[in-house]
Amino acid sequence: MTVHDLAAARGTDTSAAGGTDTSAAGGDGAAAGEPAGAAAVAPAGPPALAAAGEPARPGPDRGLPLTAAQSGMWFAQALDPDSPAQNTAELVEIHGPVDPELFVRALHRVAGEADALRVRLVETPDGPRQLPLALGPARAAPAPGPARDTGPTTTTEPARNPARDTVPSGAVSSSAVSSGDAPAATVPFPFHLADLRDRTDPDAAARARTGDDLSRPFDLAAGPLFAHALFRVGDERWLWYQRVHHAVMDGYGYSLLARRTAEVYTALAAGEEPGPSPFGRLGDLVAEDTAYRASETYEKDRAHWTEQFADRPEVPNLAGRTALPSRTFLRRTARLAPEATERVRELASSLRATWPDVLIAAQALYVSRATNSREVVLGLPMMGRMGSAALRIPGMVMNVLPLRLTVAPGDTFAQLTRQVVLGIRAARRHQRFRYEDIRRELGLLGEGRSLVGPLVNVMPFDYGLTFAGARSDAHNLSAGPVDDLTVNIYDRADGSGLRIDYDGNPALYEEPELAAHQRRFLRLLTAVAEGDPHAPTGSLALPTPVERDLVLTEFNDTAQPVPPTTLIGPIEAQAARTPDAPALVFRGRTLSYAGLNARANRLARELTARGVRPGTLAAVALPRSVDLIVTLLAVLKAGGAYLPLDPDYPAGRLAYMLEDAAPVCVVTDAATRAALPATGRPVLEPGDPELAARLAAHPATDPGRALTPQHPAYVIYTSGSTGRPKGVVVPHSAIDNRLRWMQAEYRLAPGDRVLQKTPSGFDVSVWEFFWAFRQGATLVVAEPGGHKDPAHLARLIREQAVTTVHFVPSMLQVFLAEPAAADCDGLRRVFCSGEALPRETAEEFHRVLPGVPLHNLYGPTEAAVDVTHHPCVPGERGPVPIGKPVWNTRLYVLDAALQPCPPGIPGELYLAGVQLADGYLGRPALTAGRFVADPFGPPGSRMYRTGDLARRRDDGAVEYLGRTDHQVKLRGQRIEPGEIEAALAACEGVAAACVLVREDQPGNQRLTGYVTPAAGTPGGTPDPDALRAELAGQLPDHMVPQDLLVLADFPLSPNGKLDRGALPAPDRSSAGRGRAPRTPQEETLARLFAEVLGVPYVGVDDGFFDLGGNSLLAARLVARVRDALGAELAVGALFRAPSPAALADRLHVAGDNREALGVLLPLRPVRPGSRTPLFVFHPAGGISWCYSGLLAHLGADQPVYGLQARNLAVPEDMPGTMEEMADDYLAQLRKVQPHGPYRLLGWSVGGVVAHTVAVRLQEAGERVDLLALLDAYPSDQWRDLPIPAEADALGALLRMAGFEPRGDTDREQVLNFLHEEGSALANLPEHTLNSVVDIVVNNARLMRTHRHRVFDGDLVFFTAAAPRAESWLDRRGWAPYVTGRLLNRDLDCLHPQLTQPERIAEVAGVLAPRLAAEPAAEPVGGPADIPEENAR
Amino acid sequence: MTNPGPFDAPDGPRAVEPTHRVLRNAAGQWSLWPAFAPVPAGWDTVHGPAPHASCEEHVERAARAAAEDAAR
Repeated sequence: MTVHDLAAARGTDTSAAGGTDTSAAGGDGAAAGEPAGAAAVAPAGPPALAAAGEPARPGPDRGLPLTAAQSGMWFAQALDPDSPAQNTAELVEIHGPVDPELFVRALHRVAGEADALRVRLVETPDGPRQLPLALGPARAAPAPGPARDTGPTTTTEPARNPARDTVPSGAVSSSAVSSGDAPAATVPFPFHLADLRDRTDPDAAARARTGDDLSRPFDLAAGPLFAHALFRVGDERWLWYQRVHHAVMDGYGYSLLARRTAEVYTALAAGEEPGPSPFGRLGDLVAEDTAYRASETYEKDRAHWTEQFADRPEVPNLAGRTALPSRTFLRRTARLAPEATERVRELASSLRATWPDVLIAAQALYVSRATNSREVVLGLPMMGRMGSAALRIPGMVMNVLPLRLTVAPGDTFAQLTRQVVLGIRAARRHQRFRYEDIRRELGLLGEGRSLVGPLVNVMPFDYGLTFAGARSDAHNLSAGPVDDLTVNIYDRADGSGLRIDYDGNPALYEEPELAAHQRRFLRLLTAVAEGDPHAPTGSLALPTPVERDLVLTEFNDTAQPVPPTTLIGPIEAQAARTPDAPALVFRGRTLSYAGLNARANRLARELTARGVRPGTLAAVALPRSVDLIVTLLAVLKAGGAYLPLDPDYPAGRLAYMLEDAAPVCVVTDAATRAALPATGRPVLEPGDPELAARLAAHPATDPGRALTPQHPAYVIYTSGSTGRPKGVVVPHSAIDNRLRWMQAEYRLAPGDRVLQKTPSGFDVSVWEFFWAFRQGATLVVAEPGGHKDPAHLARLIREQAVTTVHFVPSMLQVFLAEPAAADCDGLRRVFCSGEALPRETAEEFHRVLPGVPLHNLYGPTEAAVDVTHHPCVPGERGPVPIGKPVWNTRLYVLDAALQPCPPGIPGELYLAGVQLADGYLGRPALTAGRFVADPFGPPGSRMYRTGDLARRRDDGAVEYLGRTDHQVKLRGQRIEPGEIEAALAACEGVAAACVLVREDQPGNQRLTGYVTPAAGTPGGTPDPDALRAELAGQLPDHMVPQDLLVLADFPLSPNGKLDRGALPAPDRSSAGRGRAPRTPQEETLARLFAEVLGVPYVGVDDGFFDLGGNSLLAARLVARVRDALGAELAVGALFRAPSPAALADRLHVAGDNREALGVLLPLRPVRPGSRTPLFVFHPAGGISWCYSGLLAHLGADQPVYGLQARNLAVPEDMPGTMEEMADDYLAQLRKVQPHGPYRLLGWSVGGVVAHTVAVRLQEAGERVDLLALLDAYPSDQWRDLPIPAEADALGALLRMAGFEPRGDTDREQVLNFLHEEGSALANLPEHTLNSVVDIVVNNARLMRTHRHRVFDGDLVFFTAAAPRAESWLDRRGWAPYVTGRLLNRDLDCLHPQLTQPERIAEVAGVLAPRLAAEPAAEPVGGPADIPEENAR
Repeated sequence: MTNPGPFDAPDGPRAVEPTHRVLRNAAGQWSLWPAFAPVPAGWDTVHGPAPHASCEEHVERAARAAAEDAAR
């Protein structure tokens, strides 16, 4: 490797023997697999080996085992027998006359001396072995005999001039590996001779032939495993080409062969007998290899390497990914100028190092900068030969060893070189331990992980060969397979400087990319050679001057003059221009520009009176509403900056922000006010009548203010890594630029309608709030919480003709999965930001909403919302870029030395320009560390350090690659795990905490926390649920870990740091069938949990997050719970009450059995503003829980009440007649709704009851505008049937639970069954169950004795249309009892299945439009979706 | 993945080495700056090279003093 190695290679220093492989590199075979039979190497003594001509020893000969190095090569070839990747080849250019006959004789003789060449490799029961091969006579022409399709090109080359091309030679046929009684196979000597002088370009002709030959694989089992050719390309110029399979020869072996060939030829040319063979025996090499693997040294070496790499470092490579070696490689050859080469040598000696050390150090520097990695592991090919004997044996024992280096921009090149010198010295002492064994020991093999990045193969010695006085140059053509990148560096002392070849795996590198790396490396090397080795390496830069200009100037050409306005000024101007235009729509009400402006102006004047002025802050803690928007405008109009406080945040968080930001006043509503701490600052409640009176007294005109564009416009808090959230102060000039750019780019027009759905605490909301108002467009404001509900959004977008909307990519995925999303084709522009936009999501968007433009935006809160933009194009491939900079904005991708990265090279993204925030409120040191001096901008300007990893594409667009720190983005929310860790560590009983995002199932990212218990805590180990609940009181929901694991200790890496990779995945196997529900709420909740989580069953005590729930699913569940039970629930409630049972307790909705079994069951009670209730009547068993499935589909504002039989909860008399029952229920429903119009629904017996109640209501003068029956048949059709026995009643019970009766006649059996199935019914009290059976029987009796009267109106009917046993049931039997139409819908199911989720959804789908209609003057008619039947 | 960047506090023994400076510009803004890199135009060194922690303390102190001056 170094000049010391050269000495070692020549056998003068065996104590530190080492050296450099002269050409073979990358042949570790590791990526291709492991030597299959390495362990099978026979521990034999020196096997029978004889040089050519010596008598072979008698006895059976099984050849030799392979060395460990050979095994790897053999195995790699066995995996892909047709691959030529293992070919190594060299071309020696001879300047002078050559006698081809003598030359081939020399080659033949050397082959006879080199045992390793005369073998073939055969798989045997003992593993692969090298068997002897006899070589035919040397001929300088096509060998006679059968053509071998696996042979070298010798047989395919047409002999142009036989007289000159053919030179006979004596045969060398015996084999050193052969024995007498097992004659070796004989193969023709592979030599080819051609005179190419008459070709237009003889060198090109030779290259074509060698190229063709190199593409042919050897047949290992047949042999020979080498081939020679001699081309005459000039009168005095010859090319000697040799190709050898890497399994038999390494680069050092090549050098031995070449030297001996020159020696023999020179002797022959002089008419002398060459001296005796200098080569040692292959058997000795094999034996030494075998002995090593059983030695103590082997153990020591193993310990050395496993210790060095115990932390299994991630090794960077220039491609940023790995691949299997290809069959070929790309090669770029370049030279370092002679002067630079000379300087490198001088530099090396000044540093008491060798020039290869300098080359390796320079390569480490390049790799470190180009991969943005402080730590670099290079692969160094090593001879693998220890001791003078091995140094005389051509063969294959070379090895690749890892060199681990730390490259810091503050360190000098001299220091880096010293690391290299010491590292190589240590590696050389342990150089025989094989690369693939290190990987195996470290467990990298199974994971397919690499141990090293690029290989640096330095060949410090010049062959300096002469052939009978003719000078020669050697050129390597192939150094073996290339895993990733191999940099081959040759010094062949011809005065032309170092030759530096870049060999790349074509699966990883394109030709131009490889060329760019090479170009830059040479530039860097030259700069190193010319620079001061004692200056920090940080002053050295990667890009060429052209690249530097491109990335710093050309890609950042964004200058655009903008007027010095503020966020609010253009809004006031617009209000003056279009006072009557619609400015804002919320819950169907529209506010004009003039109206909105006037309200905001009045409030602004009030705020001014409370101290709000330019440079001050006003907190706004309001849910999404008109008041919120009026208030934001008012704060800005008063000149202040607004501080949004999301009312959904926990009180602890709100208190912290109020304390930290110290606003002059707080605008809030009554509900939020309760959660806010008393700060002593003025609090304004827009709903407060006193305030309203004061506002009315203020003028409605625009207030004056001394506001400049440099004043802050808003302060938004983001997660802080040290445990404290930090407020980002954004000036007007920044956000004004952002909005002006957005308008120029996307052209919002007066007809446009922008959806406001992003919570005010997230900075995307800023453009949502204000862009429309600056352009005369309309803002459509979503319901609070509506941003998480895809169905709500789709409806709103459609109904409100929204044209412009933003989604965080994960929410876009959810939205696109909503069937109604496809109807939102009125959209004109959709924006994504907040997290990486997956290409699949973009493609899905184009499928669902073809023709709607999708834009990917990027930016941190610290740079006024967005600083880059990229239009998504359908069919585009690869990651979606974050794009190019917005107006007056510069992007820098910088390496660790703050030097610009060339295109394609990853680095940290820095932002500069007018959109930068002022900094963090009250955090000067933090600000100074993130908003730093900009070395590329105007003097004194700053740049913001994003912590995002990025790279520039060649077209200037930026690709986001990840984070440089632990910060995570979870569904668009920026999270510093450090903040959560600090909160966890502050909990009682917790010693230490770690938080990270796991993705154990693809696509399911889960915030996961780990804690260790504090010693001596009285309560023992902390309870995860309790910890989660505690965190939920301090942190926003998205920051509460869904999984919390208590560990005895954290896993540590060998260097004592927390080993994040070794933290265990949460165990989900324990979740399963827990306790069954006790109430309809629990049953409903358990069902909703299961639906949302996509699991078949959820027990009432199972935790939502334990079953795989995440915050996005939590939001969905909360929406479903609201729809199903009418209960408003914050996502945070789920953290505090994560199971159906706990949540049911929390909801207190019909929370106990008494209420659940009462006559009037409020499935979803009436609330202010809700619609006319729907009353549903129990089926035969008397319980109405079965209707809960309707809730989710009827809308949250549709109250539903169930009527249930008497005697369920407490012993009571049961009704004696249907009329009596109806009378009872009628009284109950009048308590809820004293007067009509009434809406009634009944299933089965319930239908008969509903009809009866409807008739009685009409007789009492009330209006009934909906009577809907689910497969209910009039009494007439039951009258003659027998009253059911208990068995039938039990059957009815099963039906109530949604099961087909199975013929159980035993109450206990039935109850057991229900319990197993998790039905809420199973937990009913004994009395209730008995009562149900009685009720069934009683109802059957009442049915049979009832006489129907006539209902005046239409009947909406649902038929369970699957064929059934009771074929006599016929809905037309209702005709006599209905005056209007019979509107029927057939459902493809049996009677008991009608209330199962799918069917009940269909029923609800039919009823929903009827229920949504406000009671009309006329009864609700029959829309066309139900076929009308003639009732009469 | 998490290499200490040029502005991060180094760990281990380097934490006490003079790795950073504090710069100030005409607008009175501060910037932490790695000692190995040349000071950009328009900025002056007001503290250091000094250990990272010392630089942060300096900014906090100087900012407090500036705020008090402004309040006076």
